[in-house]
Amino acid sequence: MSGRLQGRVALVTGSTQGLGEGIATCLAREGARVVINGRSADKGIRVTAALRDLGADAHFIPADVSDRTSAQRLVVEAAAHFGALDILVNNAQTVPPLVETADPISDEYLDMALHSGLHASLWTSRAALPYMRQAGRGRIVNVASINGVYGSRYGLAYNCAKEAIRGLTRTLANEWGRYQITVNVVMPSGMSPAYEAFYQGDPKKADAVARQNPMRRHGRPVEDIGLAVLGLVSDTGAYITGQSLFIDGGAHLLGLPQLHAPGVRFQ
Amino acid sequence: MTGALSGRAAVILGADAIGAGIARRFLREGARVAVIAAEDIHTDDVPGSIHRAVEAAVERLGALHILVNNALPPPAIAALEDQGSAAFATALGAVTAMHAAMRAAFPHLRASGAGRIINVGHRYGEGANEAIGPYNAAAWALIGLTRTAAVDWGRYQIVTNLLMPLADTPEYRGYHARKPAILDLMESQIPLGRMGDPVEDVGGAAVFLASDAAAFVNGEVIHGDGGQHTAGPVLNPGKFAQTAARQEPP
Repeated sequence: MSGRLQGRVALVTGSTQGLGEGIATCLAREGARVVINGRSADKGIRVTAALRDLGADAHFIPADVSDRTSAQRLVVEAAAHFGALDILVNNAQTVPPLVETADPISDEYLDMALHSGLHASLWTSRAALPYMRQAGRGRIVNVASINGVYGSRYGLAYNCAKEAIRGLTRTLANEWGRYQITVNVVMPSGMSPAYEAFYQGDPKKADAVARQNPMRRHGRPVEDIGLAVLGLVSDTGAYITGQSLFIDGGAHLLGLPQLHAPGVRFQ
Repeated sequence: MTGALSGRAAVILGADAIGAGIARRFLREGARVAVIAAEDIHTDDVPGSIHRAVEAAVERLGALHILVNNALPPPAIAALEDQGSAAFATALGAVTAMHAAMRAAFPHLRASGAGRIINVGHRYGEGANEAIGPYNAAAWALIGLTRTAAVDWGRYQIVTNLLMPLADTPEYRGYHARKPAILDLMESQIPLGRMGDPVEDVGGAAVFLASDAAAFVNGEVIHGDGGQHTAGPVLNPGKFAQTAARQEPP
C-alpha cells in the first residue's frame, strides 16, 4: 500500500454498495481506517469483510442517517471506534421514485429526499466538526448530481436535495475553512445499482449513453469516482474547497438528455 | 512511497512562479519534467517554435503523459474604448500558443492511453473585471479551448481541465506591498484564510488533475484557490497599477 491516507480515519455514509463502496475502497487502499455505513447489515458486513481482505482496517456501523439522532450517533461512534475522524464522505441518499411534479405525492418524496440527503449531510458534518477542529484539519466531500444541475424531469425531490447539498457545501466551505476543513461536492456518473436499475432491460439505452459521453464509456466506481474523491481528501486537495466537481468524463458539457419517465423506481 | 506521478512525463509551458511550483511538485511526485520558458519561443513563429520545443522535450523524456499550459500573459490595462487590436492579438495569441502546444502534445498523449492536459486560467474567465478587456477575452477563450479538447479528445482517454490558482507569487507580494490593507482584507475572506503555496497548494491541485484521480474528470474548471471563488471578489490589477502609477510618477 502506498498509504496516502495512512493514519487517517474516514466515514463514508451509504457505502454498502455502488459508488459509496467504490469510494470507501479507494480510501481503505491508501491506508485510511474506514467506517462503512448503511441501513442493510448484510451488505455492510459483506463490504467490510471485502475491505479487511485487502488488509484494511474497516468497521461497519448500521444507521439510517435520515434520522437526526441516528446520524449524530453514527459520527460519534465512528470517531470513538478509531479515536479520530479526519474525512467524512456524505454519500447516503434515498432516491424517491420518479413522478410528475403535479402529483401531490411529490411533497412526500421531497421530505424523503431532503432528510436522507441534505439534512443527513448537515447533521453528520456538524457532528464531525469537533473532531476535525481538534485535528486541525478535515475533509468533507458531499455528493450532488448532474440531474439537479439540469433539473431532469420527474425528479423534483432528488434534484432539489442535490442542489441544496451544493448550497450546504459552499456555506460550510466559507464557515469552516478557518479550521483548515475543506468542503467539496462531487457530481459523479458511474455504474451503481441505482444506475443499473434505471437501465434495466434496456442495455441499448445504456450503450447509447456511454457512446455519447466524450470519453465513450461509463464511470467506474473505484478507478474513476473513488480515485477522484481520494484526490480531494488527500494532500492534493489541501487548497481545494467550495468546489463542485463533475466526475463524468465531460458529459455535463453536452447537456443532459431528458430520459426520465414517471414511475421508475431506483430501490 | 511511490509518488502519484511515478513513471509519467510532463511538459510545462510557462516558467513563472506557478509553472515552477507545479514543476517542483511534479518532480517530487516522481514525474520527469520539461519546462518550456518564454525565451524558448520565437515571436516570428510561435506555433513552430512551440512544436519544436515540445518535440525536443518528448525526445529527452522518452514519452509524454501530461501537458501543462501556463501561458496567459499579464493583463494590458486600459478602458475598453482605449484597448487596441494589438493588445487583443497578444492576449488571444497566448491562447493560440497553448493550442499549438496541445496539438504538438496530442499524438504523444494519445499514445500514452491516459493523457492529461491542464490549462492554467484565471477567474476573469468565469466573471470579468474592469479595464482588462483582452485578458477577460483570453481567459474565456481558454475555457472554450479546454472544453473543446475535452469533447474532441476524451475518446482517446485524454482529459483536459482548467486550473484556476490563487498563489503567493512575487507579483502578488508586489501588490501586497502597495496595498496591504485591502489585500489583508482579501486574504481574510479566503475560506482557508491563507494564500496558496505554489508547490504545496497549487502544485497539489495540479497533481490531482495530472494523476489517476482525474481519469474521468474532463472539461472541468478546478479552483486551487482556497475556496476564494465561493467567497470574495477577484483582485483588479488595473486598480493596483493606477495606484502604482500615482506613487511612482514617471
